[in-house]
Amino acid sequence: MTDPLVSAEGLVKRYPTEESFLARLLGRRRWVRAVDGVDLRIRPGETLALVGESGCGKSTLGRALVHLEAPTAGTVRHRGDDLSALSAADLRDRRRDLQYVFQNPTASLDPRLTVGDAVREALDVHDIGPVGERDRRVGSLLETVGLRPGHAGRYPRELSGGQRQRVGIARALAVDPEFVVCDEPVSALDVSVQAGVLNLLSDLQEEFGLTYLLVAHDLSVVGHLADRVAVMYLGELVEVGAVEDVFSPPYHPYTYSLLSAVPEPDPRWEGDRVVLDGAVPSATDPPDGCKFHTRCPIAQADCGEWDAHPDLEAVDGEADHAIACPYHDRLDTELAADR
Amino acid sequence: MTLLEVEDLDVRFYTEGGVVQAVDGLSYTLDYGERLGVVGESGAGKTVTALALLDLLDDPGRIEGGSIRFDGEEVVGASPDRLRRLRGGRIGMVFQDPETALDPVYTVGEQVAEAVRVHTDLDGDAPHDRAVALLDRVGIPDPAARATQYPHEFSGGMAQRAVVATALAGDPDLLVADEPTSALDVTIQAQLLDLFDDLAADDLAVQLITHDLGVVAEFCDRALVMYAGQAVERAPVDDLFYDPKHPYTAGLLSAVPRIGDDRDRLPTVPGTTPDLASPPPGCRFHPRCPYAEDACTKRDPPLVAVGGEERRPSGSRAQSGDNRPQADDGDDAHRAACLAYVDDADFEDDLDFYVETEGGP
Repeated sequence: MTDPLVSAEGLVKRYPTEESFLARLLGRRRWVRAVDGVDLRIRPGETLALVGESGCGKSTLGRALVHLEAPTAGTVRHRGDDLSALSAADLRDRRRDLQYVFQNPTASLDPRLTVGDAVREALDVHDIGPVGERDRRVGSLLETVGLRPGHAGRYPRELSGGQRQRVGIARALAVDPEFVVCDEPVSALDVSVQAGVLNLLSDLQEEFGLTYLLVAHDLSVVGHLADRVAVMYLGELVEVGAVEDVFSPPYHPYTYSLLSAVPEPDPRWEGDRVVLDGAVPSATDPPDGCKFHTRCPIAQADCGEWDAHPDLEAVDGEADHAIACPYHDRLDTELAADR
Repeated sequence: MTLLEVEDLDVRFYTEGGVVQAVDGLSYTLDYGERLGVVGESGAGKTVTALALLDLLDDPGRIEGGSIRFDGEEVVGASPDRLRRLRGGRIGMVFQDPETALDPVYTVGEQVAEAVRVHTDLDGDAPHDRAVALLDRVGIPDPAARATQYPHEFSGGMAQRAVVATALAGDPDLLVADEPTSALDVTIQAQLLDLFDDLAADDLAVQLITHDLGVVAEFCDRALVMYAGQAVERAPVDDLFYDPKHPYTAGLLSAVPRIGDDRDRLPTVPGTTPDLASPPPGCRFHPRCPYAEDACTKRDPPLVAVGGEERRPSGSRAQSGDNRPQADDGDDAHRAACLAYVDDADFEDDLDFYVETEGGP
């Protein structure tokens, strides 16, 4: 197997619910376990999608993988080097390889900077290219993402949502990165605009050999863009594999529920829909055993009793596809019995 | 039976940048118990239309023409008192973001009870009891206890259910839901759609505004596709998805990524929605339309019946002699606003898009 470009080992990220001294003194502080022991290897050139409901820790994991968050425990490696162990100067250099495209382009662009300044800032900070050449480089970056060099003089408010997201992408590309975390890159956009940005992301991947981590809640977008998928629930991975393996049987019951909840743009579609009860439990006090057992459509008597959560285990006959549910093969029969 | 008739509605916003024609000559109807999906990109006028129904447009927006009849009575120009009874009474409204729709300083039960007090004659403990019953109706577990909690103690899905409970307080005939599930996870969206399904089965008409074509396919009977303030297509959902007639609808449908599709690239609708302070002449979609011809730049196409049969031909109020979309009473015919379907138009080529289906009909 090729060496991973970026990898996480035993990655844990916890946040305190309250920061104040008084809360600490009174012992009121509790911990949100946003990422709770994740192992993940991202291969060079691939698009790995990270999916799950809000609050499952997918954005936190994405941020930790490019060291925008220091892990509480575990390590993140880029080309084999532990990012936490790098000196500040080395880490800064490393950031050129590790970029992040944010969900909301309106919030991530400074309204007082023109598009050109916003993109150029990335070049200036990392001192890329001769100073006199930078404006030309900005123009060509804007062209790369489907804008015109003339857009450089405009302010974000003068652009549409799709154009702003393209600026966000141009900014990430400016430093010629290897690995880009795209955090819900199209969820704020209309479908017609979304399609253009998705096409752009695949074009750029091909042109520059980029590796993507795509954080998304829209499974149809994932199916379109990703090579592999990791499904996350309450800070843990419950299923990992190639898109075609994860999106077809056998499924983790959570993956199945997510997939079946996506409304099909087909009025004649007749399928079985699993509607999960309730919402994701609180990450400050997750359920014992398998964290999903409180909402699982096929939960067995002992699912809440394990000392530890179920581990990811390889699926028979499918190299590279792992499911963290010892009962996943009962999904078909159990759901059929409910009908 | 027709519950809502919108006819030739014009809404304009008077801004510094000019007069914005947010809704332009929009006509549609909604029957009792019917589910109408309103789709289109941001800026198409979907939300403005919904706000106009309740005369909730803020300055500088104004209804400049047309009529909105609810159960036979004119809403445009109605007295503030009547509007107050209509809003949240016979027409309930659910907005996209439940966190902003609920007041953080009152308990959820009190907010539902307040709506009950405004729209019914109940007093004393009765509004509170009714509020608990409504919270139960929308599927909030342990409603009596949850009624005493504040909005921040509710998850997004539960908060949206509470907003629906508030909208139901006046026992409405019509629920206008503006992107009610767009801020929610698919799993929670599925729960909410189940709830709307259940409510609609009780003969509640629903006007669902959404950008998600999947939601329309799943939930709605008919759909209205809006572009730049105008209706470009109106059809029963089956016809819309299997036999779209307007190039914009076809473009939207093909741009949706689907699980299991093996297309390398998604077709896009190039360009962006026009500035409605100075919309393009002729058909507003022509600058983005792959089929646009010379004639499209000159003439604004009316919304005309296309193919299929008119199951209930328009009768009593048929107008003639102008190019405005013909208002019709609640017919479920398939209509599109494109010169390709206008008999006397100077439109040469055919629209050659088609829908591919797999294994299905």
